Amino acid sequence: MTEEGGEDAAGWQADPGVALMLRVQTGDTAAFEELVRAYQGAAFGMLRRILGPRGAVEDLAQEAFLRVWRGRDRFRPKGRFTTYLYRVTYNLALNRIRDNARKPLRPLPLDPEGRPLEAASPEEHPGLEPADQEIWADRIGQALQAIPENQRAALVFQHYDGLDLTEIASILEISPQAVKSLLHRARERLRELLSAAWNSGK
Amino acid sequence: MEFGKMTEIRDWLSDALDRHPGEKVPDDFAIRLMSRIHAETPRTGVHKWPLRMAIAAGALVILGLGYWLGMGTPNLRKPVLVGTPGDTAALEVEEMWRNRDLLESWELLNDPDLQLGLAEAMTGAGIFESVPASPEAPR
Repeated sequence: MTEEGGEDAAGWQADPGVALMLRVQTGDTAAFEELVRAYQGAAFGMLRRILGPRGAVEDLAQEAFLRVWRGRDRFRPKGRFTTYLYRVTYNLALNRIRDNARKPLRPLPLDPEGRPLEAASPEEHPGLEPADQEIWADRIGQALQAIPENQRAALVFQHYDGLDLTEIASILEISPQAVKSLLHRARERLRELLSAAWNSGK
Repeated sequence: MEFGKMTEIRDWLSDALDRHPGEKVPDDFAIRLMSRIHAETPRTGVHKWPLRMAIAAGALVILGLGYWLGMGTPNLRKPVLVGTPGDTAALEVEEMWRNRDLLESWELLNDPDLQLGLAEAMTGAGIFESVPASPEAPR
């Protein structure tokens, strides 16, 4: 396993993120802006699923990209850029989860219509009525928050970000076999939590 | 299939998970982030060098200018020998005597007592004269 994800050289050399990062290493701020615009959606989505509806996603996403910029000299292209970005972002998210576990939860900020602000503008899911979209967003969000953070992270990286076992292992700093075990347990628990709703057809 | 490349096996749970929305990125996120990046860019090491070089060049110019301005001044560390104090005084009195005509135009030198003083200084008379004892002087 290599430091940035254990992929073969041909994999990361063709990665557009790595190509941009190599330009960023020369101090090219335009390349960095391009990198941010290309990967900001991935970072926001990952943080929301890991942190849940109460997480300060934007603060952490900004901090993650700032760390990528400040640590650009230390970047070594050994895997896809997403693996590197997710490792930085996940470590920040993990610290935030652990900090929040020691603090009482704040009430969610609400918009003028009384809806939680953080969930006010989700991406639309084709084939679902808007009301059903909100119901499923809450349902999946709650189910994800109900499983341990390492299982949640492994599942998010695999299902939503399409990373393979070796890449997930690199981010979580565990063995690929342990990742496989986390994924199995996460899926088992989510099936228990969501099967009733899914089978009811809503 | 290679172990590390194992992909997710799709089932109803995968379809359910797909219903979780992503997170909408604020339109100005990248702009605000880049403004922070630009704000801290001048503090990085690469950009400090031109400033340091300019400061060093300025210091060298000031040192060179100071040296150049000081080249015509006498060496204050070396003592200047112009003869004994007595020689100097005699030269000054002789000079005054030689220019007596000029100096007489100055009101104070028209004073007879002062003229006498200058004449005595030239001849050496009176310098070693003992002051006669006054009859009123206490014994």
